Amino acid sequence: MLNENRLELTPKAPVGTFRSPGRLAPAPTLPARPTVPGLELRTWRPFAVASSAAIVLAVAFIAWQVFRLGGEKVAIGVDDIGEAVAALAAALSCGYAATRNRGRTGMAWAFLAASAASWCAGEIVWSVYEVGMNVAVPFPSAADAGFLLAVPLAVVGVFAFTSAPGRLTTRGEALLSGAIVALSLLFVAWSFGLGRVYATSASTPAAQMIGLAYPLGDIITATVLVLALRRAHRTEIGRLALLLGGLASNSLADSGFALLTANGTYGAIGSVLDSGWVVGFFAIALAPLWPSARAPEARKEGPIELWQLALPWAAVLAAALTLVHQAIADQTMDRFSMVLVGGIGILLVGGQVLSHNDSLSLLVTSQRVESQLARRNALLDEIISHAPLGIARVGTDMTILDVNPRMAALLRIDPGKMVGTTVADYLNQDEFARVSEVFHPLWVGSVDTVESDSHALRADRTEVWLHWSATGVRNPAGRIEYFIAMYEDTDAEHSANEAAAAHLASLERLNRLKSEFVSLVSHEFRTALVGISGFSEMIRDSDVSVDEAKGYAADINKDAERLNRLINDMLDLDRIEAGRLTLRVQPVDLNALLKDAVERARASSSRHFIVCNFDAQQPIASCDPDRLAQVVANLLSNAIKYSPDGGEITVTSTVREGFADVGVRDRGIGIDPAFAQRLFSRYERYEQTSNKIIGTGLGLAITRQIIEMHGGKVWVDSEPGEGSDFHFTVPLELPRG
Amino acid sequence: MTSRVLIVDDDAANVEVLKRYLENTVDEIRGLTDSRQVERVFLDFKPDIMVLDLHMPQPDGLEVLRRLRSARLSLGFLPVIVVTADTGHVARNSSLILGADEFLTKPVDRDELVLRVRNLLHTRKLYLDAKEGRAVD
Repeated sequence: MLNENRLELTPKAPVGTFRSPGRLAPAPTLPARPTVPGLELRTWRPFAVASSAAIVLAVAFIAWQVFRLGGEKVAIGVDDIGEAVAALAAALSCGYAATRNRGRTGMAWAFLAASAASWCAGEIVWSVYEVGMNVAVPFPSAADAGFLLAVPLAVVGVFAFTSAPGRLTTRGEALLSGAIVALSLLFVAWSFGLGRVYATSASTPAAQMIGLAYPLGDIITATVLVLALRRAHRTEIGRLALLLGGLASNSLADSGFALLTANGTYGAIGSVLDSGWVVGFFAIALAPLWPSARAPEARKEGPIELWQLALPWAAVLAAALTLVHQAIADQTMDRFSMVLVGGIGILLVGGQVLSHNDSLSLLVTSQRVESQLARRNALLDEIISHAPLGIARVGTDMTILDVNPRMAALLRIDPGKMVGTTVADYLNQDEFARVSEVFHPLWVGSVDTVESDSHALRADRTEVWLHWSATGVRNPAGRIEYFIAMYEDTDAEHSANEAAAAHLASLERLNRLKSEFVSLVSHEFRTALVGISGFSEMIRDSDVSVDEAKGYAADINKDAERLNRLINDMLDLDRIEAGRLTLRVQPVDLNALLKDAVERARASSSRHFIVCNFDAQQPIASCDPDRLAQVVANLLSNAIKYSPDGGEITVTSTVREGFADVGVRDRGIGIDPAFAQRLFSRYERYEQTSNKIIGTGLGLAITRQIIEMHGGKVWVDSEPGEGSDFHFTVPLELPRG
Repeated sequence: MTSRVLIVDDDAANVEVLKRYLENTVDEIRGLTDSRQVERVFLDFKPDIMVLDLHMPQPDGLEVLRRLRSARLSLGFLPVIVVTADTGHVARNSSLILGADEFLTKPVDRDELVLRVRNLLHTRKLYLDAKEGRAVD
């Protein structure tokens, strides 16, 4: 059928289906059903009170008529006035309902009220004759006008409740059914005495017509009853039953009255039969008070039940049985009966044709709907399977019911293998607990959608950041059946954020290092200035010998040199980093260069013992001798600086694979390997809290730049407390020709 | 009373300059470039005033102040002048918190140094006199 809507997330290899709870594909709509809204009362109280009163009054009325209390005249008075009162109650009740409802419904109640009022008027005229003037009511009289008018008004009222059917065939079908029922009932009634009543009646033709109008009205009413019941909605059966029961009761009383009047036997028995009107109008009066069981939207279309469909056939069956009865009883059919039977037959054939047309058009419609649905399903399948989002159906126990290919691709797993696993398989324990927490508002129903970010575990144990949102899909009872979750890969976004954060941190660190550098440089300058200004001041202000002055001048010079070195270092680094330094590369005897540097270092410290361990091969390097001397001097100065207790410093040179490798090893404080990488960056100095070494931190940065410009490498092997072993390589001069 | 000053600075040239600045103000001057020996020299030399650099290889000036704290307390009023190239307020306040009496920055003003040393020595003399119950001149 059509109301099952399959949306397969993985159309190529179906592993599960999305079953729509019916909303996506409503069943083909049936014609609008009649609704009988009353006063839309929510409680039973008004109805209970009114119906109790009505029952008491009706029982009292019947008792009065049966026992003829207070004599015949009083009983007749009570009979007439009671009927008028009941009809008035119905008129008022329906009239009130008419003012409370608008449009068609209000009109329907108004017609019913008018019907009851018309009948009430007729009864008042009747009462005036019978009770007021104490004469036999003439037949026909003005009262009959009121009574007869009530029938079409009631019929129109009941019909007004039924909303207009949407399709012609159905309207035609309703008319046909009505005609079949009417003809069948007329046939039955005719066969069982109406014909005889008509034939034997001795009244004037006008009286005959009016007398016949009662049973015909009843037949119409019965037809309406059948049709209305056929289209009634279950929730309104109560109200409709009251209304129709009331009309039926009235019809019964009408028929009885007509029959008895025609037979001339209307008397004491007829008086009791009159309670049919009282009961009928009370029932009609009660109908608007029937409480509304549900909210108005509960009045939805639904299929016609079999018994409702079969109602017209019941009338036909009754006609058929009557026919059989006549055959058995060997009765002959009069001409009118034959016309009726023929008419029923023709109508039945017409009904069949209509019904065939109806089912044909239904078939066409359903085929159209089916193909539309199939197209939409295909579109949805396409969308789901090509969506850039991972989509999953997740059971209430967090089991994965179904996934689209993108979802499986996100988690690097086969879609088929994902089904049956649980969400917990793709999250670590804490994250799963957190996700369950996030789902909580969905359970409670306080929100429709929840969303969050999760670091998910893929099938290959790698991790991915997913942004997800989940919605609960509820069954008609409102209970969550499963969740639909959508996932988006936000890994790139997350790593970009992390990179940005790391970049920011490194910028902040660089900034801090820069300000530290500035204060260090200023410290170095000030320290040097002490000597320069102090000694020059003394030469100026004190009586000093030439030798003393020379000594001071030497000190001043030393500090000036220091300042010069510092400035040169800073400028060097700037120049190198800006790519403005050019190397004057030439063949250099590396061992001679090293020896020279060692001699100078020895002169600067008496506490350190510098050992040379050179390769005998006399490596001729291809380098800028000034820059390389700067590098070696810097490494030696560091070795001295970072081994404050003195000790051995070993300088080595080896030749390996086209490169000369120079090492400077000390037995000093050493360096944490974690810091070794940063050591060669600008401004970095290795510091321990208890051990401050004075320096600008430019030396190794310059060293690295110079060595890398030569195409070599610089590195350090060190352990805290074990000393450091610095190495650099420079390319060897290629042997000529 | 003889006055003794101990100068601690890892830069030999700076020690030399400070020595020259103070040679006419105090009776005895001892310069020290290796701060690791400061406690020993302190007990041995028994200075009346100390001139101390901050940024030195271990221990630095602040650490020296920390280590000498109890010794200075036991000796009564023993002034310390910090002379440093670090002009930051962290260095200044840390020094004062750790008991330095003066904080001068390099390059140091000769007259200021001399006057501060003289004043502090005078205060120390008054303290010692009061402690020994001698009448003040």
